[in-house]
Amino acid sequence: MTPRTLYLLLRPTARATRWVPVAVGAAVGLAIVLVPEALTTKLTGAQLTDMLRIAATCLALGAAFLLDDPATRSTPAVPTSRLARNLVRVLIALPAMALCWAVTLGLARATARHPAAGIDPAGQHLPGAALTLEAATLVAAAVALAAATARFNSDGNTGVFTAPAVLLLVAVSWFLPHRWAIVVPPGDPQWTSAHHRWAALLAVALMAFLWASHEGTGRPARRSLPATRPARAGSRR
Amino acid sequence: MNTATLAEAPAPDTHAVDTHATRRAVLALTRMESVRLLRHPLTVAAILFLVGIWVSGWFTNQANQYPVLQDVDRDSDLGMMLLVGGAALIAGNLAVLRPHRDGTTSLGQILILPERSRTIAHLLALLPLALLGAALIVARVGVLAFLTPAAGRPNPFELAAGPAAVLLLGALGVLLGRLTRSAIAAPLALLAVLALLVVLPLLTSGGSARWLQLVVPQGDDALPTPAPVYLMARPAAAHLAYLVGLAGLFAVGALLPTGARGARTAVAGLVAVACAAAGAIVQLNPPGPAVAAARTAAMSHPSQHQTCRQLDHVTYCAFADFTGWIPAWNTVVQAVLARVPANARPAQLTVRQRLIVLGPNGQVPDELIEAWQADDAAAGTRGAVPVGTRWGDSRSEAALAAAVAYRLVTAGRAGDSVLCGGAGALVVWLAGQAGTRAGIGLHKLATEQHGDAAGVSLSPGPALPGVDIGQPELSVGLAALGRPVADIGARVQQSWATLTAPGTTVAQVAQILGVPAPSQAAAREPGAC
Repeated sequence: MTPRTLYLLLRPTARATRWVPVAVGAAVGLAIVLVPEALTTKLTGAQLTDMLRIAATCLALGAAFLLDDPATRSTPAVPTSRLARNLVRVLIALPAMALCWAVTLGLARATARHPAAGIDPAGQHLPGAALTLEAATLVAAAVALAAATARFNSDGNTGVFTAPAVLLLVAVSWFLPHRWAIVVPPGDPQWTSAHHRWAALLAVALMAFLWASHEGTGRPARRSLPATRPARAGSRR
Repeated sequence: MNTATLAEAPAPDTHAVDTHATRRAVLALTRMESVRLLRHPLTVAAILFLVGIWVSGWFTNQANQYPVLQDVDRDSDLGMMLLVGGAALIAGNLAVLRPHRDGTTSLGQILILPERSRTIAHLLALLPLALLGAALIVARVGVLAFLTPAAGRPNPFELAAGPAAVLLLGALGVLLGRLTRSAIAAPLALLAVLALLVVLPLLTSGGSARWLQLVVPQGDDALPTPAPVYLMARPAAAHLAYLVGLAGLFAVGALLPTGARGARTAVAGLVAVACAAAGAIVQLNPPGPAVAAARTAAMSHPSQHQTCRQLDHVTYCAFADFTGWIPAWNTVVQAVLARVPANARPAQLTVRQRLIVLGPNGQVPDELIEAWQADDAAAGTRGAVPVGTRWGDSRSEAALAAAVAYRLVTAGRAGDSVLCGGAGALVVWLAGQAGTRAGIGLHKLATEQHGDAAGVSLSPGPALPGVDIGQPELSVGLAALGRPVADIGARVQQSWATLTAPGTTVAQVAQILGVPAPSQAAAREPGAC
């Protein structure tokens, strides 16, 4: 694997990636943050934080479809490793998703106008860095789940399994008991320790992504294909 | 293709036989799809998760030990909608998209059963899941009703709203599957529903427009604490009609792209619109003046609406739904009475349940204390001790124990609710020793209000007047609670008259009880006294 191979992969991968879910997820997330702010002035900092968390989940749902690949049956035969292919896909999508998140966060800050501005103008105290960490963890978890799904899935529809799994993870994170809570309102005494947990989860998700993208050895599928040599030669196009 | 020709050529059977066969085929497909929906990993995970939350709440949430069933019912609906409804939305959507995902869409074209009938089967397959949801809610409320001293009774319409929301979201999933082939639509729709739960209450400012939400977990703004069933005035039946109507609309909407344009579809659509519109209009009507009058009467003149029961020489008066809690109240009251010398116990002691109904701007009504005193005088229960409509949590127990102690220490003297000097410290000790939970509640209240130099306010519920105690009194009382109960109890019995005398200072009480006196700085702190 050389940088040149990676470079050659960039354009075809960008064309093969399913951008619609990423775009739709980002758009719905942006709407979920901006529409309430346009309609009401009563959105407090805590509620705006929750809205941004929902928007981050929308973005993660889009990321869940990032590794979808209808040609997945043909890829085991290519010389480029699964890790390289997955990394290229994620690296291509990452700037786009980061931009979407930055726009969402920036607009949320710009339009926040809580009337109780005396002590806590929601926009000023919106914990952008912490929420970005949460969003990054969710996206990393979604991509790691997609990579794990891709290992066991033969038709390339990873998002179909990953998106509900992401929602399930988010549901679990919202209902965690207070001692281990990671979703806490701003100003909560647990806020800092919760974000240490988020950072740890981000590391776990990234490691899981690397592990799940690792090219396995001795897969059962290979054992059942002793006579595929002619077929493989024929399928090379 | 030959098969396509076969499918298009009408069978030589009569129309009746044809309809019968289609119906059987739809039912067979419904059976298969409903089993797949119930066995879907997402459904199983959602149900396990929901049951897990309910069961863990049983152990961690103290209020669940004395639940109020007219509040539990709507609380069940929210989890049911978000978890089981969410699973129905996504799994139902994935089921509709299965042929597309598996690349068998063209195979479906040559099946005997047209797409319209298959969509009907997908919609009908949601019913068993909704029934399972109903069974779960009934099981939860049943367990709470029969295994705990629960107050009140659940509203069946409120219970049915959860399963109706499951049907609605499932139908939305089928509709989305017919409108778009993208599997991201359903999860995003669920997140939009979640966002609506936050936004709609803000937009409607607690008005009756909040009933346009799918479930309304918020209680009435005028009732900060649980209320008897007859004062609830929630348009639960109209809301159920609204949900069922919306579910019907989504179902008809899912059938339209499959070419269903017949009279039956039109009738179903009209019925659904009528049902949803009628429900929406009825639920948007604010509760009438009769409800407001009944609430005011229950607040200002509780004696006319309560049932009284005597237990161990103490009279307990409670709203009909809450009489099951009287033995639990009695345990706390007797624990306080036991520490009082026999000659200091009042001949007649009444504990009366109080309910606060807030005004339109959230204000506590004026002259409420006077109204209560007049009501007590009319009922012959002067100096009744207040207890709220919430029980089972440590704060409520501490507040009741403190209210009883206040009544005993002041011997029913009318006066300010702020207790200074020896009496205040004694009330803190009597309340804290009334039981493990009362002690925990007292410490919780003291810690929570630590920033308040005025001391601690032991109120039986939000907006209910309670007993206020200054910081030096609180610290002496808490210090006494750290000593052996028998030792302090004996000293209290011995020096009751001195301790309760109006002029006794905190330092004197500390000396009598044998605990360190508060520092001069603490005693000089500006506060309630």
